[in-house]
Amino acid sequence: MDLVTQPGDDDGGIPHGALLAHLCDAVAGKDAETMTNVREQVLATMGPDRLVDAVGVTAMFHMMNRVANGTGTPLDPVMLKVAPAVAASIDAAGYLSTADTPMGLSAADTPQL
Amino acid sequence: MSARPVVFDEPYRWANTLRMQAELYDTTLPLRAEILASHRAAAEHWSSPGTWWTASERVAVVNEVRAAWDAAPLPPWTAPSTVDGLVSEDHPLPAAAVDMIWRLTNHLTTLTHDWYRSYVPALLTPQHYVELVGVVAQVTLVDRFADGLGIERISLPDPQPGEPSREQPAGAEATTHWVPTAPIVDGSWNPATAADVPNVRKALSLVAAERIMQWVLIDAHYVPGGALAGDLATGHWSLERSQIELLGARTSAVNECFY
Repeated sequence: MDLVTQPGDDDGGIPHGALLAHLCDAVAGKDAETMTNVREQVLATMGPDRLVDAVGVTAMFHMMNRVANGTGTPLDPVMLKVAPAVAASIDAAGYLSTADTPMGLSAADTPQL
Repeated sequence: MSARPVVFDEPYRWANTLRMQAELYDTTLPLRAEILASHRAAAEHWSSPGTWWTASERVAVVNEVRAAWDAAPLPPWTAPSTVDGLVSEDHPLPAAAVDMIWRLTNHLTTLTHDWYRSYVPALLTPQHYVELVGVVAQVTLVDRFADGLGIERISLPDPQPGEPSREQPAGAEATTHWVPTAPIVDGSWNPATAADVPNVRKALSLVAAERIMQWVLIDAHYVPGGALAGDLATGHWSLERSQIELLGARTSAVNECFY
């Protein structure tokens, strides 16, 4: 989960994982120079089709994140069992949006951070 | 005129794709026909009368999202409508809408139920709020796409005349979300439990036109709705599934979206 929380140089077993994570950060940021540099790296490394689709996916999640956070969308029941472990692995305990999903688990079920 | 996203039911042909691309974006990058069609639909949608906001107001929302994103940083607790000279006195949108747009655009990690309640229902009805969330979110997708590729953001058609439809879905109530949601039956998600759609799919159900537009954009950029519950090993478009999910997870972590 390091790629998700602290992208570095490790691809994490995902083709071009590190570069894609940095692309996400660039799209989310407002530094034009950083965006240009990362975009050119993705273009050179992965090609134009993958650049377009990768930017499309991260842009789509910007939409979904605003819909979810803006409406107080809670997790679906099917997600609840794994939610504490996932939250722990991505350091999500501090997200304000976790308040939308009361998980109501006992201390025995909650992974120790 | 009611606001309905354009429905595409014809096969995408290469010439049509090139024509759409030339109309919408000045780039030689290979933009898929699905993406182009969805962006054209979105631009027309924003420029049309909405369910609760007029077309002119909706275009103003688009412009305000862009103004917010491009502005010098403002702390989340500072409402732009309170900053001298930042919002014009004859702005087509009420101050509450402008402030909400800036917060959702730039500081979505800071949103809380108390924040929502500070706006709804005293300053904005739930319906007006949900439509704003929908449009802000859609604009954010389309503009992050353009900015990410280094191409000019899409231009909008002139706002269309007509009144908002004021369509209200049956059975809407605030149970799971902050906002009221309405029942949805959608077999494309999971035919076995068509009424048990994911919460994120219900989020904009108070304003059906925005929910539908949201899903048009999802289908073009991500994985068509029904495939979300299916095979997680198969790639989609030009990317492997693992790459797609990494992009989603990292973006959501940056935006602190737990869902």
